[in-house]
Amino acid sequence: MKKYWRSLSELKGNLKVESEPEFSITGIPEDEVKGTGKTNRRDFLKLLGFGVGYATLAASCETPVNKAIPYLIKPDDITPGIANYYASTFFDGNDYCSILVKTREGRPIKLEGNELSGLTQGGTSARVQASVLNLYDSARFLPDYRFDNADLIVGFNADFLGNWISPIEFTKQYSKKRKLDKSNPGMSKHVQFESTMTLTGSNADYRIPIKPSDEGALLVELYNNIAAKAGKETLSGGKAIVNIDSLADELWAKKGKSLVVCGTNNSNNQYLVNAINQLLENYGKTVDINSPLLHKLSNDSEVKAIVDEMNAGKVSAMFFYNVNPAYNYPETSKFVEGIKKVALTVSFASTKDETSKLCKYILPDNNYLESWGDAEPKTGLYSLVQPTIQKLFDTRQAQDGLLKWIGADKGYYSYLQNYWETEIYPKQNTLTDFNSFWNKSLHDGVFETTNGLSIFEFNFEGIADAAKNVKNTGSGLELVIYENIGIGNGTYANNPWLQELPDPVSKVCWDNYLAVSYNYANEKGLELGDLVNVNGKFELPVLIQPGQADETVAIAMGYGRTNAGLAADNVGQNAFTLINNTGKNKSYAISDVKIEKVVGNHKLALTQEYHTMHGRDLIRETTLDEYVKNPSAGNEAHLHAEEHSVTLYPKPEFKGHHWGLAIDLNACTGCSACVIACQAENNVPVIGRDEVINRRIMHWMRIDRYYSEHAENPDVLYMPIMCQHCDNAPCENVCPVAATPHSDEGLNQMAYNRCIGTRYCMNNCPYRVRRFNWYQFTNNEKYSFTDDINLSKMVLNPDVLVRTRGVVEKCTLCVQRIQEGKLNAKKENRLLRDGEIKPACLQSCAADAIIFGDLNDKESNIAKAYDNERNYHLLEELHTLPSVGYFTKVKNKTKDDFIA
Amino acid sequence: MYDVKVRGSLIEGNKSYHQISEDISKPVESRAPNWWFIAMSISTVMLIAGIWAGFVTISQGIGTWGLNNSVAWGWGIINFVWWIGIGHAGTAFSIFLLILRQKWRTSINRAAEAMTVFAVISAGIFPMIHMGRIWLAFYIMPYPNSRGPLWVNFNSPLFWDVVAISTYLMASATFWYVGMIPDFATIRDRAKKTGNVVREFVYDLLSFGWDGSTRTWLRFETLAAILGGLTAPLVISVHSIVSMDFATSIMPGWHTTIFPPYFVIGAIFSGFGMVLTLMIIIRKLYKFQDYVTKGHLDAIGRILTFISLIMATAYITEIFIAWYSGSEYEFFTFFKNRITGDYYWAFYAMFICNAVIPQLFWIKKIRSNITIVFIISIFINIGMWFERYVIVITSLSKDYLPSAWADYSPTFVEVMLYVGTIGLFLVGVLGFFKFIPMFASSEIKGILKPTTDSND
Amino acid sequence: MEKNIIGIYNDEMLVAPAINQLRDKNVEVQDVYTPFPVFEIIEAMKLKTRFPYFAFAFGVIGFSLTFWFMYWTAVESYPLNIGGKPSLSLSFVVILFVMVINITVISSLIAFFIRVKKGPGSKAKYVADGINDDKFVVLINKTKTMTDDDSAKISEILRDSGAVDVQEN
Repeated sequence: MKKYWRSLSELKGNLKVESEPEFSITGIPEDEVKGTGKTNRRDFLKLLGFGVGYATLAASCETPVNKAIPYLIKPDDITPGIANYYASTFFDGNDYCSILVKTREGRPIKLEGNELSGLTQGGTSARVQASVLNLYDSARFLPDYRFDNADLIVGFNADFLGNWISPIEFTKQYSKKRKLDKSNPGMSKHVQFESTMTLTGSNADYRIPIKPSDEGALLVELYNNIAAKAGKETLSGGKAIVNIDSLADELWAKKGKSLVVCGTNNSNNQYLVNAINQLLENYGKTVDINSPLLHKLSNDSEVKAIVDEMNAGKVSAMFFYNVNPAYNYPETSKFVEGIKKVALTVSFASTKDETSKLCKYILPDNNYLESWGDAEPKTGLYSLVQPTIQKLFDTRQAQDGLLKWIGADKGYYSYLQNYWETEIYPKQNTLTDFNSFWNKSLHDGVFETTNGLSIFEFNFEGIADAAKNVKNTGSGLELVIYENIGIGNGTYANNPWLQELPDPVSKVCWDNYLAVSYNYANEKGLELGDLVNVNGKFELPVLIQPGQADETVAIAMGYGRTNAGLAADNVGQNAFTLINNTGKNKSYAISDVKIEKVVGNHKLALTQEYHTMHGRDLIRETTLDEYVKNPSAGNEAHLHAEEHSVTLYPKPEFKGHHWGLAIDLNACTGCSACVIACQAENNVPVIGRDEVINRRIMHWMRIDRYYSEHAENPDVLYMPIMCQHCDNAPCENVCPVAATPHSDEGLNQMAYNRCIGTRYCMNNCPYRVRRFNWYQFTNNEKYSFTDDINLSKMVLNPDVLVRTRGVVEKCTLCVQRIQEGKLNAKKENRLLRDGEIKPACLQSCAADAIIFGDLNDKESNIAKAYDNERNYHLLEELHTLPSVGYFTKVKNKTKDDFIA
Repeated sequence: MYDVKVRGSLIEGNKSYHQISEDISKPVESRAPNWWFIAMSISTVMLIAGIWAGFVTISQGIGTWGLNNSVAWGWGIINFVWWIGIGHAGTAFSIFLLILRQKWRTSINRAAEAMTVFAVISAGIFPMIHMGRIWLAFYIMPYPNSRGPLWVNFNSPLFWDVVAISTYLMASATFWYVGMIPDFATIRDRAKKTGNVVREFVYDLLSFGWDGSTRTWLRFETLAAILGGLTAPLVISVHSIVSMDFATSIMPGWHTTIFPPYFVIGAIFSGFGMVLTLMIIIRKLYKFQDYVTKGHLDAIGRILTFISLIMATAYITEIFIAWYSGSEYEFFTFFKNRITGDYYWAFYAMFICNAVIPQLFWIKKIRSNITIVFIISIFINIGMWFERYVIVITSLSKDYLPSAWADYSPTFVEVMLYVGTIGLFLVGVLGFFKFIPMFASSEIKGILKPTTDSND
Repeated sequence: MEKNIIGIYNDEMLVAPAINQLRDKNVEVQDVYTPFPVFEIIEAMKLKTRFPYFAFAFGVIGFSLTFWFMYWTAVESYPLNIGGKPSLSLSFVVILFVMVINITVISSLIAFFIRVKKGPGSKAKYVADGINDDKFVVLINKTKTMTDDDSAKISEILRDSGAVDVQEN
């Protein structure tokens, strides 16, 4: 293991002097902090000039690091204690996000969304947030969708808010249509047909559980219904598994403003859905083919053909970049056999994985935060990847390797620049010299063009065949293999933050499980954690999933890895081996799966053990028609509490700022990006499965998920909960050593160094938001879940204290960011602007569900939010006077059930 | 006023003053009986187990206990309150009965006070050991410092606990010790006569030069009265303050004004129960039936019956108010999480042991059967333990937000810690038996004959 | 060296009359040593103590000290916003109550030991055998003006009133 550097000064001693410099000297001028829209550009060679005085620099490639020496001369652009932000792109082969990388003393420690991106507009997801940790780890032609133009959304097994194609972008769009404007109250209606309870399905107004084998026939039925209205031929093969007549009527009524999407990996089903959208005149409005999405363009049959060729001995050399077939190719053994017959196998994996283990050569790629690159997630939208830290290990960017082998005389950086100069720079005409264009693009991270209208004609020719070929019979128990929010396809299985992220729906972490329906469990006598054997392949614990369609079960992919690292290895089971790879498209829905109960029970780590509100008025909800009649619908208790609010003492006054937060429960989808963002920002430790089972998870932000009473197809509600910063805090009163007083700006403070750990405050908090360091969770090998604890500590945020054993901690409303914001405003001699300070949770939210600001500023969004009739405070009848507000959840459903 | 004959004579056996000196000094002067050595060994082993548990807790963390982010207090605090409750007996005996001029207290008050001191020491271990960072425990003291100067939070019931319990320990120990001084003098003089140099030296030191001077006796009695008068309100206030740990909180099932009197009565209840347990053992093993007569035991039995009725009333009041208040959280806590629900077994253990079983004392035959009395006295303390368990665990485990509901069960470390405090208590009490006169001989001599002053 | 006459009694009821008799003869009883306090003897010796007044004074001092300390620390020196409550809090009452008792106990204890001139390490005054057991000993100091005759008379009174033994030195 190479020694890695911890500060720029150490770096200076370790810099390799090569013939092709990794980073060039550019002339980007000095800039201020992100808030004013400018960033600093770090220049290593410029620093090198300063560092020449350090004798440690040698001409040879490797220079031993002697000591970390603090700066004698401060480099121009780096001020210890102030963060530098760099625009870059997150693209891991699956998900795309335009990001700003926050670095401190030369280390990336946090990723924020880039608001300049027209696509993701500042949003992020849990995986994006967590990917910063991976840096420190010792591994077709799709249309784009416009959910913000759709009044009626119908999803068929499409988890578009969680994992399908471009979830960050879709969440941003979707939430725009879920927020309510009192003067013009309207919101989209979302109907979801699916087998297992996905994040998207849990947010739907109406959710209908169906079997995977039912989807095709239902799609044909819907097509026929719409086709009849459009005067087109109907097809055979349709079956009204569920009566969709009224849905079809509504879709027809909302022509051009509706959207039907399907997430099933079957071209016939997709064809049908596209045809339906065409008939509904959605193309060009909610289906955007002008700038199609460019993710996930792989071709299943082609991959199958390659594996066959490998086994036939026809392949002499293979290079693996951003793929891991030894883990996730369905017929793993076939692949493993085949690769033995390939003479030259090279893996570019940046972290060890199952495939690299089988390769002859491993040439580790840089982590994306150390790399140059670009991406075009959607036609016309370009973004750049730039390194934000000097390579931590002896890796090389894969593209540099390839260029070297073809004998090119320049490195990837020049190649990239050249490409941009010739292909992309000409697409604009505001900047007249390439260097300025290049610098601006690097700085912004994105360059977006608008495409001209493309002429598009829908071809209905194959539709009858497609209808015939949809899978409309299934037998026995049907298994759905899906991606969950945290682990996804398994690339991030070795990321402990993601392993410990409780699944938004099931609240399980550190494991996958067999999700079964309530009825199935009763029938088979299955309880939580009971072990079952799946198709003779492996054993999994059972989880009873309310809303799981009867006669279906589900397993999340991405687990059961064997060569990924400490956090991933042997956690859960590998569901990729169950995928049906016989057809033209890989099928993630499998018929006739054999489930057999075996002896034993595996305790699943759940962060929540009681799943209904027990009749308590915690998440207040109403329906759209009630809201239109009366904006206070569902929120009568708030008026009651305000009226009857009595106090023995005078209400505390806040003369300067009074910080407040509000969460729009209509916008929040439960995606949990905020949970990880908070963890990254505030150095929240990971504790491992056993301690989670002991109900000691450390997340400062948690998302409560409640089901309504019917277990077969419940309503699902989410509520993100963090410290409520009560002005009448019950926790403050009981601390004997005054470790948790109230600030004069309305924050409940937590003085870690004063806390002696009596835990009285934890008992007295009715929201249960306080966390205790039961063991030494930080700076402790036992709880690092990474192979090199010193390396993983580099992700820590130096603005936030790391807590020791025996101390209580909780959300601080990112007080370090508040202070930073105030200081910046002070330095610039101006007032703070509303929305300038963004706590980590707010910043990461793709749905823009969180509002934060100064309640004393009558014009601020937060002050207006508190005046909203939908606003209430959790447990307000206890008179804790919280500084966090919630907007009632308004569902676009009538009191009647959908199927009526 | 009572008729002495109805309850039996205060001291039986027609003793002379010298005989009393003899009887009471005997255990100190003779070799401890065999059972004492066995009991001392067992208690020491228990104490060592507790020390081990404390060491594990401090070196590894409170994570070695079964607590979690929802139930952050468990056996540690249950045992703390249990021990403090037991500790109230001594003070109640000595002082209340002194004020009420119940002369029969004199046979029991010394042992009861001893019990108080050791119970309070055992109790005091828990607030210390349950701290996450016990090495910073001094933060709780408001001393001048350079951190502001940062003082303490006077609003916190935990701070009140620190003040109250240290005061209580100090006052009880003082009152107990001061009362012993004349008896130490007796032993010192006897040791001098028999030529036992070591004993004479030790008890000479302990007796502070006591000589029996009436001038000193006058001030001594005054001091005793003052200390008694001061310590009496402590009986009420200390356990009220301990109850405020819960009463000032907003947890459902905790937030109730009944707690201060409820806890105080409960403390006297458990304390008297423990006194009964100990006195029955003492009189049997040391053959002190003449000093602790059936009349004494009968009197305590009747008090316990009465208090048990009060406890029953308190439980029923709580349950009634939980319904009458209209608070869904209170209703849930009592009706769904105590009377029924996951913890019903603890609730019924509490109710039956405290409110039902002691009612058997109405029956004279039962009240005079010493074995049954002994068993019932143990049940009382078991019941009181469950009462604290019900209060602490049920309210924390299922409070306002169902998403946070979590269960709790103690770990081996926590159980050993409890065992250790029992060991500590027993070591103390056994040591008391051996090295300190079990009865206040000077007081007993004082009540031997009815005097013109007696209001008895 | 002190010169004393002591009368040893078995029965405490006989002592008070003896003391009265001696007073009639203008003889001052220095002290009576008993195994337990005898109210009649205390009365006969006309002993008084101002101890309770001292205790009260300690209480008042304790109250003022505690209140001042809490006020100064919580209201003046470093006031904190704790749960929105005012700095001058009703919680003071609880602590005052207990601290008054605390300070009074300690002060009274110390005052007691100072006043009776006994404490850890003090040597007991040996007067006669059986003190602290079952004997009641009257001690009369032989003043300078007393004559042998007076001593004899005193011894007689003691013997007549029921002393089982009279000693002189």
